[in-house]
Amino acid sequence: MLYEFIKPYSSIATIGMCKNAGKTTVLNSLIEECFENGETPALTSIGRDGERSDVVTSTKKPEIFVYGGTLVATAEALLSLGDISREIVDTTGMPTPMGEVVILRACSDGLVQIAGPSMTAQLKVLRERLFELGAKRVFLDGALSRKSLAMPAVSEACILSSGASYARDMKKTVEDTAHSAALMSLEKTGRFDAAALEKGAYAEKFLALDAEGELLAFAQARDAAERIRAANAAGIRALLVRGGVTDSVFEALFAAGKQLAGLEIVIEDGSRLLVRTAGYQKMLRAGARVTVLDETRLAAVTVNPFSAYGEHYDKNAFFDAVRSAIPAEIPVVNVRD
Amino acid sequence: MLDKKQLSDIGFAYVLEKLEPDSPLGDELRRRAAPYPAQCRTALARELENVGLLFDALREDRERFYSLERALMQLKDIRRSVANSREAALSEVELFEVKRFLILLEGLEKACIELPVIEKLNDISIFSMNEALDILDPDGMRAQTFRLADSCSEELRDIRRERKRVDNALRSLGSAPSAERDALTAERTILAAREENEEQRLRGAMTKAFSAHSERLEALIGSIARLDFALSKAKLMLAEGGCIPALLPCGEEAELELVNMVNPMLRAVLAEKGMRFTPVSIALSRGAAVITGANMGGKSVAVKTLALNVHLALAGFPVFAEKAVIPLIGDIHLLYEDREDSRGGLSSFGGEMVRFGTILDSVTEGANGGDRLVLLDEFARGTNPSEGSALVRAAVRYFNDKRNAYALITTHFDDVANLASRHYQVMGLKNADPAALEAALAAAEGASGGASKSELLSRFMDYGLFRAESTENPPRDALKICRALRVSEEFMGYVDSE
Repeated sequence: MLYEFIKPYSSIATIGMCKNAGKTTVLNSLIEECFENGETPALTSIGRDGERSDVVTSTKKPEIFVYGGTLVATAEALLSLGDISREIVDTTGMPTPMGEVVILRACSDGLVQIAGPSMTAQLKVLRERLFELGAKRVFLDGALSRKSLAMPAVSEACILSSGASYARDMKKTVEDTAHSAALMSLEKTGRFDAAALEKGAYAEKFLALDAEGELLAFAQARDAAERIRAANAAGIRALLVRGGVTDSVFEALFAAGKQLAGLEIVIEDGSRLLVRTAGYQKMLRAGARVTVLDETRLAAVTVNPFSAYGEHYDKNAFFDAVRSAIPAEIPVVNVRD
Repeated sequence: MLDKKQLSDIGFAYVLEKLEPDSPLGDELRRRAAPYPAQCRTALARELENVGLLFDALREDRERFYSLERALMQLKDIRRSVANSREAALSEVELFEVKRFLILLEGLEKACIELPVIEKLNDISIFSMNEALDILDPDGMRAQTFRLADSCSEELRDIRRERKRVDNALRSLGSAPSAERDALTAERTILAAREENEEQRLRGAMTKAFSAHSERLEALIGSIARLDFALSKAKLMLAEGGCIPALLPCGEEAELELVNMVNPMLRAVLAEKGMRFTPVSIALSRGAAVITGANMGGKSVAVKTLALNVHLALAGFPVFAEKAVIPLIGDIHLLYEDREDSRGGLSSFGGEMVRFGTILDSVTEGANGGDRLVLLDEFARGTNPSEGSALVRAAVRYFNDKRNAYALITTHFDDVANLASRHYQVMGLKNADPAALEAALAAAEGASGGASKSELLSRFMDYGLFRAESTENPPRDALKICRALRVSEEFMGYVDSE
């Protein structure tokens, strides 16, 4: 059900809106569909910061089913929790609270528990190592936190899982899912070049680009807003905001008033936008549009009407509500189908 | 003993940072680098000889070492696993690491055979350990992965064959739930547990057989670490220059001599400002020598550079000098103004005297621990000139009488040098053309701040040391420097009327 959507991508991350949203079901069915298509993808996960080994080992059962031949990168202490017959292929030197991340090859079918490194840079290195070892496709089991939205750096595409466990109120679940989906499918900017910016020596958080292509740097949002408000005849075409973009940043930018219309606000990636849904919508209504330096592709959204807390949604109503709340080009799939 | 802050101040920490061993084994020795005790003179001499041999070979053909360096770079520190093997069964990850290390040893041995110099090195012997490797890789596949082979036991082979059957049956069933599926899944769980148990038993037996080789492997790892560390020192010498110090045996006439030494840390700082470090030469016999000379003239730099290079020599490093002769020195003491003292509630003078007291204790007791190198930078500067001068003169006479110390004292006070065995002066502004200096300072006037004035001054300063007559008193450069730094005209008028 999902294979055709992820087929073009070599690295795919799964992200959940909350626990029990169906993320593991999605990962398992992806692995199975790949297997049916003659593939054995490699697996790892974003480490869970703050999760101690005793918490994980005493409460979690291994839940990912892999086929013989699969490469798995996971923390050393989790090896014995799985039931596959295995070969140790490499050690990585990447530490986690549950021991070093090691790479193993499954020599039988069976269950594994996965925890990879929590640092994005290490995850990138690990992904490349898995490709070197022969993997054609890598699945990254993402976390639930907002941090896991920082996917563009580590995966080509994401699958977002949402479900009734998120909130009792279906309307809230649908709204927040649509907001997350919007952040994850922001268009890539054509105005700034990430590589060139990295070389440039700008330390400021805000970089405005005027009609002549000149860069103007500001440390404060209100200074940037003032410049946009005063000079948009001279034409500030785009504003790059680096790091986290909070409600207070947007509040300051609203001072630019009418001049926000047509402004392109560029953020590093979808995970940096920490504004609430309302603030984001207000900015769009003001006529600005938000783009990203690093683009990620939202390959699909999955929905799960069953709640772990008993407050299930109506299956069809939930599917239809999510379907109509997100852009038509993004597939929506019910995990229980 | 030089403390951590002093080691950083003199530039030893900088030198350690510059050192780049290729393996974590060599890096461990780098982090622990310290002077050899006087009783370990032979070991020190053997280490220095190793560095010298490696340096000569590197200079002759640098590229020939590439395969050795690559082999070293792949090694991980497995010492804990090797030690563990004598206590308990190693885990599969530990066995993986040990097996890979043993496989990499073959490449390391080969790289060493291609380098004839390795055979000449003291206390270093590199070999592969195929017997130990055969225990961890009984089938001789030499794959850099770890898995207990089916051939390890009949039980293991049977379990795995069964697993294969169950896996295939489950695969052919598809994912729809069924009673048959549940039964097969339960069977898989039991087989997985049996496999785990059998593997654990086999890992225990494998570990036990391997542990018989563990001590030999530990000795080999020690050799590899020493080779890597010595090689990194030789590479530093190739990059930064320097020489292997000559060590003198104990004897009355032993003279400490360093010719044209530099301090790489200060050299790098100066290079950043577009200036060069002036090499200094110092020879000391037992007793006290004195350095006098202009303020800002480099007396402290000379003292720190000497401390660094003697410390390096005693720690088995090449020294940054054209020539170095080092007598049997057991310890270095360095005393200079330390702003930390005032925070501890002591005046700077009080702090200095407390630390001076501990140095004297060490000099008095140190009979068989070798001689002491005692470096006092502007000793007693913080008190009145008449008593300060008396303290310095007393120190000079004291160290002249103690026959187990090489003391070097920098001072501004008069009538000290005539008591010392040797007298050095920094050139300072002695040879600077006053008219040219005046013109340059006038030109820089206006736009420049205080920092660049002192920088300008340093261009006219000669930091070289020269042997001076013992009767010669320190030069009178202080007022010249005040004028050059453009200290207020009005104030200088008051000075002139003194």
